[in-house]
Amino acid sequence: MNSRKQAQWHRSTMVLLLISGFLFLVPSISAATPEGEREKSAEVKNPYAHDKEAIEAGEQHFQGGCAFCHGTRGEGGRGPFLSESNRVRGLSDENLFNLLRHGIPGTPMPPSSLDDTRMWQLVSFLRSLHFSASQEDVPGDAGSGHALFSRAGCFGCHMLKGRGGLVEPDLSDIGGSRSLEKLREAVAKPSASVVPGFRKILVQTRGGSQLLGVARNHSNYSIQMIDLKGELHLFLREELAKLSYEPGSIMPTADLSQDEFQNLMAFLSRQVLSSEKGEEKNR
Amino acid sequence: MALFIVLLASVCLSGQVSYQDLLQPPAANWPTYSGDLTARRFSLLQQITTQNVGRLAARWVYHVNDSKRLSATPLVANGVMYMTDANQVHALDARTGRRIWYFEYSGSKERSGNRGVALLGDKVFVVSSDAHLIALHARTGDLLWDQPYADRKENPKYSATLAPLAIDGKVIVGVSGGDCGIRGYVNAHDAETGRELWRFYTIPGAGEPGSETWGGHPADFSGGATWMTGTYDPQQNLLFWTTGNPGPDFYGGNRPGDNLYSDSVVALDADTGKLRWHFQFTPHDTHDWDAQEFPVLIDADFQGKPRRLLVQANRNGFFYVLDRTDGRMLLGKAFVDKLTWAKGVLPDGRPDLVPNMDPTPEGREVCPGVVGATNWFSPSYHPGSGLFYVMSLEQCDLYKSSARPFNKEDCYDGTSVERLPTDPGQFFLRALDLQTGERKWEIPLEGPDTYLAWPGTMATAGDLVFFGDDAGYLAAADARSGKVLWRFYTGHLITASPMTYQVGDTQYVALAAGTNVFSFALFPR
Repeated sequence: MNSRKQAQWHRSTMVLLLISGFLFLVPSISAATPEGEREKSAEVKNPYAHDKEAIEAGEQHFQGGCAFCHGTRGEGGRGPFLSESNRVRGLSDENLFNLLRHGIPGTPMPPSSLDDTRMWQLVSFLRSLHFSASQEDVPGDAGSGHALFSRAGCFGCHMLKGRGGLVEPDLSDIGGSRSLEKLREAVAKPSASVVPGFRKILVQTRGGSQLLGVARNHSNYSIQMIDLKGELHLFLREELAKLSYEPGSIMPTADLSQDEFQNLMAFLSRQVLSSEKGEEKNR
Repeated sequence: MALFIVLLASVCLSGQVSYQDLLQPPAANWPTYSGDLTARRFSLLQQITTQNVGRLAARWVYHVNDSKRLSATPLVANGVMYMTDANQVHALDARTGRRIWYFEYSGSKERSGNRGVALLGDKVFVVSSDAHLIALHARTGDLLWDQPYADRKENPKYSATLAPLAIDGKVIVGVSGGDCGIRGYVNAHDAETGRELWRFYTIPGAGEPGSETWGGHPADFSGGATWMTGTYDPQQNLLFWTTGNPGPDFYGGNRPGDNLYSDSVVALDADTGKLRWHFQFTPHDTHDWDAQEFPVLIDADFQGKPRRLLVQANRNGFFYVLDRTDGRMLLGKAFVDKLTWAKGVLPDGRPDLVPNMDPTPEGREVCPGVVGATNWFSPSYHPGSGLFYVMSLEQCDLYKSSARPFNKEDCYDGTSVERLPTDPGQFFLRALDLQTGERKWEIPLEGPDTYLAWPGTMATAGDLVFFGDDAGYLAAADARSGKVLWRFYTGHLITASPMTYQVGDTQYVALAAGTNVFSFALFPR
């Protein structure tokens, strides 16, 4: 893009892009230009990325200033959960650094006065929360874990790569999106923490029928739920005679041997969605 | 109320969209981008009428986080609304606007717009910015399959924005990127598995019929993108898909000839993708006049005979009525006054060209402008009034052009267009008589966002035509007289078209405006 062309860009090309069927493609086009490349290479990277000592130091900073709102391991509380947040994961080092430095105006997230070194250590720690199960070397026999997953009826509630039930979360990317620690907890103690959108709910309609399922969403005025058969129900509160949120998760606690548990972990930790894979399939 | 609950529950139990539901949608549903497979964008719902539309009030607003500007039409089936933005799908309780599920595709960071989903069986189909066709479970948003359909390793300029079209067992998609050096195509995929069934290239390969209309210009970057949803005639088993401009858009010196099948509608056998016929609106286009306006299918008496018609108000300024059994033109008539490039349309469908209208390095003033006399935003047709409602733009531009070699790293557009300071342009909602193309009425729009708004229309059996405008209003007019009866200021730029649906005993009208979806119903109930 030469300078003459660039001058014209502002006057007319935006309009052409809008007209030409790829509305809002501007970012992708700029990324394809030499200017875009330069911007990319100029981005500031964390000098302490993956540094074990920096992660430990960062954890100290986190406990001191962040854990009060975000929980000791980023599990959330007053502030948003960070440990599996795609939004945090999607930020570049530089953007994460700047966000921590300046806070988020209009929210309780304050700016920070940590010096740059400590700030990068904090970034290193936040990144370490995002190590997914798939990035770890999980022992066990994934094939046996798969067989166990089928035998135990997990497909009845969980979708996996396009096959399975509708009541509990899709596990197609569970290895890529959860830490091993969370994965272990989810199987060993399913009721320890319930994924948002899967709160157990029991309703009774004014017609008298009872439905047990999960509340995908709820408010004072309406409930959007999936029952145990995987059917979707959209209720206004006035259409219900009774409604109660039940403790725990729909998922039962499984009685597994140590080997079985490990095999299941090996299987689940390998469940990753990769768009790259898709590209390879393409002709 | 108890009875209602039972009914509602039974709706939930059979909450699928059958192919029959697409052929003849239950009035309560809006199961395709255009409401049905014909793109008439006409709803049989008539709770909201010319008599009571004044009582229409916002029932809920759903905000799409991270959105810049929504351009999708929401679809509704069995009480669930499906809305999209780039690489994301939102399923909403259509009565309350509360979210049921949300799907985000993480494979692409591109933020090209997205125009919506397709529905069939228990699946929701959507395209990603990097041209994957994705199937989700309609009840949960769980990913069922993800099928890339463009070779982006070979050419990363391919992208996708359209709402797919689902027909019997198949999902049809197209590609965007026509001004960046791609070769457009229409793809059909198996709805169950995502497997590609056939591909039709809009630009013929070397030696194929039609390739002689390019003067040797290589097909691989000749454009002819397919970035809008087509229509389908089940009796003929024909798909009608519109194609984009040839590349480079403003310079035709290196592509002498008609440049088939750019700026055309192609009629494709839905089972094989084979071309049955084509009609080219703008041969050898040098003004970026994609033919991506909807190819609306209307069955009506025309010129004394019952006919199967394909109707389009084209970006080049002419309103066309074709016989869709063979692609023959029955009527071609200007629907804008600012039209300088052609004197009219000849009986064979070709434009009666005015000489010396190609862009030059110094610039040439030509009407319509580059936005076109209309564009992708939806027109609509009311079978009762026999009127075709089209958002029309009266505008001219200064088109500049110079020779441009193809460069793989860059887009392949042909220089630029400048606005004429003396011609800010003006939108008009026009009602055209299907039989003659004559203007029956028009509503001049006075808004300031003439160059940014992309507002479409929708007609209903309540004898109303709903339309967005260039000042951020959704309005309703009497479909027969054009008298504006109701309006609502959304506070946003409108770049989408309205739709309507019913849940329980209530008819709603919905529109995406800016970063929000608005839904309206009569108040008090």
